[in-house]
Amino acid sequence: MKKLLATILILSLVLTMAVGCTSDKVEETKSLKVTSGLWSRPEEQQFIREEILPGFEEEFNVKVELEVIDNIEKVMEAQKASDEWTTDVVMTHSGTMPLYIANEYVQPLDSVKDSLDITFMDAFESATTQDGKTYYLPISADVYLLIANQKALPYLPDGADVTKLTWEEYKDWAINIADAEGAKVSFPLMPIKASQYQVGGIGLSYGSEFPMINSPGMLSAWELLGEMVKNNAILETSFNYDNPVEQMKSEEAWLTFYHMVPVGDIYSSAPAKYVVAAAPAGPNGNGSIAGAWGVGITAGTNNKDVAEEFIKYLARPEVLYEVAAGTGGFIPPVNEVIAQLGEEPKDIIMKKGLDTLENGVVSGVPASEYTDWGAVKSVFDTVFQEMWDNDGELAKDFLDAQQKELEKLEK
Amino acid sequence: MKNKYKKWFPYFLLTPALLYYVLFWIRPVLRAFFESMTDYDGSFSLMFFSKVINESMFTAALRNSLLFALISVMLQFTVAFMMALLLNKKFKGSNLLLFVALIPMAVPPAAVAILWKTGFSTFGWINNLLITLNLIKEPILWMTAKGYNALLFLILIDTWTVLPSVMIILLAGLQNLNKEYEEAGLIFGASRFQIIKDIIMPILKPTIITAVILRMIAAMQVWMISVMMFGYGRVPFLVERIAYYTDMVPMLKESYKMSLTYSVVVTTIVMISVMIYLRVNKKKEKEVRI
Repeated sequence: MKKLLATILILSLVLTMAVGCTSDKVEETKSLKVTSGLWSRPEEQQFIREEILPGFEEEFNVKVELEVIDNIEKVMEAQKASDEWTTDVVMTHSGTMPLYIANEYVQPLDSVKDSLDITFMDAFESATTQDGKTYYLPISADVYLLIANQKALPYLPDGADVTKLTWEEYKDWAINIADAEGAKVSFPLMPIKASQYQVGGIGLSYGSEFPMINSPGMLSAWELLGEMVKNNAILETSFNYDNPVEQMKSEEAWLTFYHMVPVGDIYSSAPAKYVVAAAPAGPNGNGSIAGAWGVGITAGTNNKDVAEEFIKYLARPEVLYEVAAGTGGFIPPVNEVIAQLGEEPKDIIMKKGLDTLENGVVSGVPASEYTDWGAVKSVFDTVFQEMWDNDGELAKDFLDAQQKELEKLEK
Repeated sequence: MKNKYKKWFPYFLLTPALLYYVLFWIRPVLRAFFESMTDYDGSFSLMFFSKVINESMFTAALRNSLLFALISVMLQFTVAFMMALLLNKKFKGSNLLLFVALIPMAVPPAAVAILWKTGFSTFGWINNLLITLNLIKEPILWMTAKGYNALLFLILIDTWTVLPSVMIILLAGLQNLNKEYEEAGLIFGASRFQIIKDIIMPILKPTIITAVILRMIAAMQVWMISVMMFGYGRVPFLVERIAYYTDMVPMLKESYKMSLTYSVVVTTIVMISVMIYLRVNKKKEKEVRI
């Protein structure tokens, strides 16, 4: 028996070696490293790795290594300083694109853009181009949307239409619910995450710029939120979450105004259970922070040809749609894709987002104008914590002091 | 000539380990001390120690770190010692119990935080269990805990995670213990408590010291569970501040030096704590001998 096993083993080895030696010239597989700040949620990464990248890998015989990290600036800084470029393609937020362009981390993409048979939305032109040269192609855009559980609808203030809500109505709605059912508003407040975007959107509706703490528009926003805090309309557990998905899906919360991707996740889980709408309006319109993610080629890449093919592949309308829909409902910033949106839950999210982006009062994320965007977020967290600890009240002096803290962070 | 080579051969074998320590341990540690004691221009200055001490979160971070280390080490040692004593008695199912008790050790800190965060959410499994058992009617908002409650919360979660590692060290010590000492104690009429206190614990002392020191160091370094449960700054710890400056606000001018200064502060506190612990132990040992 042992002899037989040994013989089989030897024969297998010989056969394997023979196959290896007789095969024709093996085509070398190239590799491409993509460093991205986009797709930070594990489910998004899984979708991209399993549904998007294999198509490109198979078509171009390239192995794509996707690395999703928070602080790409540091990585780029190190690669540039050492002149050891390991990243070929970089995906960054519109707020940091000017910094990457100014620091020469990325190279012009005009030849790629010119070869594409699609038209990009104009909204992100200023972030992606400089001195007439294009450095990034936007592949997704995002805004903030309102989502409510159907159970909340009976508490809408008289005459209010959920699809055309004002912030005053939103506040009254939240307080009505709180009076009858307890706090039901999710306002995710995990530190250094997204509080400034939520309150910033309200501020824009009241005529503020973003980011500001003590402008007249922001004073209205803080006052509105303070009313909600004072009337126990906001869930205290919001401090433990960086998005409203769990609170909304478990029905701990019925109402939220948040980034469209988690909103898309909530809505798609049970479309009949929820109603989605554009951001509520203030005197100046529907305010929302808007961002875009763009794809660029690093300045020192050794795989420029493959990197260009990768960007062209990502910019195919069918791929762009698949990426936008599969990762929760980003807005694909390409007019040809937008024209084809249907009535699927993810399409509805994209349309609502588009509505806010095109008709609302939107502001980008000017991260590159501040020394550290995390520190900016921290200032907003401090204000919100103060408001929470003081039962919704905020002293003007305190807001002025925090505004000064914010200004200290400007470059 | 041959003897000369023989003499240097052990040092030759140690060279890779020494090089490793010099490059990846001594150099960064010295660098951290240097950076924390210089200003932006590289001149000697204690400005960053002053900045750290005057930072609004420093007092809370120091208090939380010390309390966490003190309470968690005492709690974990006591429970782990009791479990080790139990598991050292061979009984039916003891191996299975040992296996079950060791499971938390295999769970990484991030997963521990997710497990407990899911459990302690408003409609999490803990509230569901308590409601099913008719112990509560409305969900308890565990996650809204603040101050000392939040700290206690983290201590309990940490205890669940690290208990097996303390227990396994103590159990290994107990299993090497000569049974004859215990038997001698029993023959001379000692109670079970006296045997533990006067025979087992003194013999186990080196093992206990190892377990306690390891736990003290690890407890001073806690941060991830706090951040994952509550986010940055809500239950601050000294090492959490390092992570804050490194990961959350890395682009601030002072971030690099602040994180290194915090590292030096933590290292100093750990070293002082361990020295005090060893000195107290030595003193007690002398008293026993007298």
